[in-house]
Order: sequence, then structure tokens, then C-alpha cells
Amino acid sequence: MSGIFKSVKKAFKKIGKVIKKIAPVLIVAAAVYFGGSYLMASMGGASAQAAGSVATSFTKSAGMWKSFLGGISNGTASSSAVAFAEGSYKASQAGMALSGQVAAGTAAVNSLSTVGSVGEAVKTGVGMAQSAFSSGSDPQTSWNILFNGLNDTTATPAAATAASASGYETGIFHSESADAASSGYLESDPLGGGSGVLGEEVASTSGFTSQGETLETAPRTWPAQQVGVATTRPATTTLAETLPAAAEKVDKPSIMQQMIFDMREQALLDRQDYNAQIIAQNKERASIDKMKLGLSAGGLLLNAFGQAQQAKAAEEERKRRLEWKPTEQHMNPYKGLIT
Amino acid sequence: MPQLTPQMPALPEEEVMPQEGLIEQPPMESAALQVDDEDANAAATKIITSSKSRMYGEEFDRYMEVLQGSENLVEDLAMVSLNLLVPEINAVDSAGTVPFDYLMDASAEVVSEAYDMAVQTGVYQPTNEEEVERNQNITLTMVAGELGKSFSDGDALPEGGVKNFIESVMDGNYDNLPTEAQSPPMNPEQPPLMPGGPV
Repeated sequence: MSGIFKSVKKAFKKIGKVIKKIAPVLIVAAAVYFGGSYLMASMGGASAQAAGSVATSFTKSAGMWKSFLGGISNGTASSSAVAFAEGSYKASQAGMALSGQVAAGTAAVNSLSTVGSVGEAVKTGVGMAQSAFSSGSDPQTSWNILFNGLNDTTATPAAATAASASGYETGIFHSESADAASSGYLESDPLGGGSGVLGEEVASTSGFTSQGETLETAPRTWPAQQVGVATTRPATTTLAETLPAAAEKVDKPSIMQQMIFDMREQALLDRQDYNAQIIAQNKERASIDKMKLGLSAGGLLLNAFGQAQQAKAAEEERKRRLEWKPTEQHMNPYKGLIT
Repeated sequence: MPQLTPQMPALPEEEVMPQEGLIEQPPMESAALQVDDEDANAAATKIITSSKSRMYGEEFDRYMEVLQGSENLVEDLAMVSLNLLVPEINAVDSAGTVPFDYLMDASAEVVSEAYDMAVQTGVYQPTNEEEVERNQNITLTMVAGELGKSFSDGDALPEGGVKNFIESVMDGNYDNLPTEAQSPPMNPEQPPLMPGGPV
């Protein structure tokens, strides 16, 4: 492996001391998510065409890019991150190895496109990964089993059936039924109030309730495209019936996404300002360098002229000495002396 | 008798001397991988310390305002962490040493510190350790995703290295890391129970 993220393994002991709560295996899983997002974005975005091109560029990990792209195209980035993180965490709690945790997260993200809610997707993904990695002899075989399963569930929404068939029971959701398990993510409310982990993103959809509103009392409305005519459902409607409504909210960015977009724009503006400053500094340096060059050239010319003058004077002196002839006058050394 | 032709002595092979002024470095190798470990470690430490300094310094009031009015603390703490990390990464990028190898470690440390700040100020009151770990994991994954997208704008991070890393993880080369159940408890800062104290 090249140097990328090598410290995660190399400095494992140090991480254990520094990081207070996040397990190193989960940091590695996050690093995988980092790499997946990087490759996705560098390959041109989360479109179906990009998914195809990315998938053909890689071998073993092709299914991962498909799953990331599929998850993001069917939900928000936050829900993808939650599905991946929760999937990998639950897999780690179930005692699966790191490759299995990554598989669980990947399958959970992929399941977002079929089951819609994060809770169901996590449950489905972990179940599928556990089933695949318990039946596969090695990671590669297990991944192949998982990819085949993902392709099947993408075509038919039978992920929940596969999860229940795997016999895996998640411990995170304490609700009694699978439908309530979806809302368990909200009802557990690990933040001590508010709308839960997904907050407004899920709670603001018509299928999820915010504070104080219970699922049993809230009326549910089927979208027109689902049943042809908009009909009001009685209070006993399950959360699964509200998935189309949740899917309608896919395109609306969350507050965090909007803030990140704003931050990126600000960073871009800062970068442009910085570049403009650098360009101005370079121009100023160039003009100073030109001036220095001109002064140096002038000095060089003056120096050459001085040398030429000295040489000319020396030559004249030499000629004068060579051409010297004694005069006819005889000098009287006693002239002027008082004798 | 055949006449011997005079043979020229074999010329010694010319030694290829490096030309003066040329950098002896493979052209396709990323400069990011040439960073010395000490420099990368120092850069990562600088990212962490500067982030903490800003978190508890100039940005503290703003973050408190955001977190106290938060409807989704996990997402908002991811935003806080990104807001702390991105300028520091840009700063070390200007100096020419982005510690890619330590990026997730530094991000995890900043995320953990952000949660500590939320807990210490009473904004976030977790019910148990597992809840904190799960939420930190989600926040770190959000941060990782956004950082990954940000790095895709430039060409500093080699695609091949990232791909190899992910495939190495998928191949099970990292499976020897201890799982959560095997890792030792990470609460060394918990004070010992005082004898005779309240039960």
C-alpha cells in the first residue's frame, strides 16, 4: 500500500491514547468513506453515468462506488454518512472484521435507494454483510456475494426480507417492529432533545414527526404518484408508507450542506483573493527585477568604458615612451648655482 | 596467415552523470508522498492545536451560539469540525506539507474535542458512552465525506493511492486491527472511586 493513510495502522497505539471515544477501526472506516467521496467527486459527481464510469475503472471496489453513488443519488450526503457510520459501527459491535464493517456500511448506503429510511437501511446493510461474510470463505468471496445481493436488492426492494432471513437482530433500535425501528433512530434521540440524529432532514419530511408529535396520531398522506389519487391514511399507517414523501425531499440540501456550500464559496473567494495578491506581488517583483537588471547593465557599460579609457591611456603612455628622443639641448647642472 | 587488423581498445562506458539543476525524482510520483514523517506529524499537530485554540478562543462564542440553537447536534458538530479543519489544512497546504497520512487522525481528534466542548458546556448531555461513540463516528464520517469531496478539486491526493488503500481494506489487510470488543477501555481519565463516598 502506498503512503495514504498508513499512519492509521502504523500509529495505532498512539491513536488509542489520543482519541477519547472513536475506535481506530471506525477511523479507518471513515477513511474509506473519505476515499470513496474523493474518488466519486474526482470522477465527475454522483450521476448514473458517473457511477458507470467509476465502476468500470476499478475491480474489486466497483460495487462500492456504485453503492456510494446510488446512496447519494437517492438521499442526502448526511443520510449516506449516517448509514455508513451506523452500519460500520453495528458491524463492529457484532464482532465483524474491518472489511466486514466496510461492507456493512456500503450495503447500508446502497440500501437507502430501496428502503428509504436510514434505520431500515442500516439494519438491512448489516444483515446482508453479516450473511455474506459468514458464508464467504475469504473477503473477496464475501464481497462478491454481497455485490450480487446488492444488485438483486437494487432491482427489487427485498432487502428487508434478506435482512430478516439472515437472522441478524440489531441492538441499536429498541422498537418492537421494523417500521418502528425506522423511527427508533429519532425516538431514541441521543442528543437529549430535538429531532434526533438526522434532525430536520428526516423529521421535517411528512413521514417523520418532530417533537411532541407521535407517529400514531399523525395522519399520513399518500403521494399522488404512488396510488394515483391522494388519499388520507388513518393513524395506523406505518413509516414505510411515507417513504415516497421522504424521497421528494432528496433535492433539498440540509442546513449543514448549505453551510458547507457557503464555506466552500468563501474558501474559493479567499483563494481568489490570495491568488490576486500573489499575482500582484509577482508583478511588483518583476518590475523591481527589471530595474535591477537595468542598473546592472548600466554599471557594466560604465565599467567597460572605464576599462577602455584606462587601456587607451596606458597605450598612449607606452607609445610616448617608445617614441621618446633625446633633445639637442645640454643641460648645465651648475646653472644657477653661486660658485 | 590472416593479417590481424588493429583493434581499438574498448571504450569505457560513459558514466551517466546527473545534470546539474535537474531534480532527481520520478516525475509521476506525487510530492505529497515525499513528505517526511516528522514534517507530516508536525503539520498534523499544528492542525490539531490551532483548531483547539480557535475552538476555545476566537470562535467559541459563535460555536456556542450555533450549538445552543442546534436542532441536530451531530450535523452541527460536523460543521464546526469542518470549519476548524479546512482553514488549518489550507494553511499547511500553503506551507507545502498537507499531512494526508495523518488527516483522519487529526480529524478524529478535532471531532472528539468538539464533542468534549459540547459536553463540558452543557450543550450536549449524553446518556452513555456508546451514544457518544456512535455520534462521534457519524460526525467523523460526515467530516471525512466533505473533506474527500474538497480534496477532489485539486490534484494533490493521488487517486491510485486512495484506490489501493480502499481495496486493501476490502481485501482484509486491515482486519488484524482489534475490533471494538477487543480493544481496551478508553476511559483512563475517569477518576478512581473515593472510598466512603456517596453510593
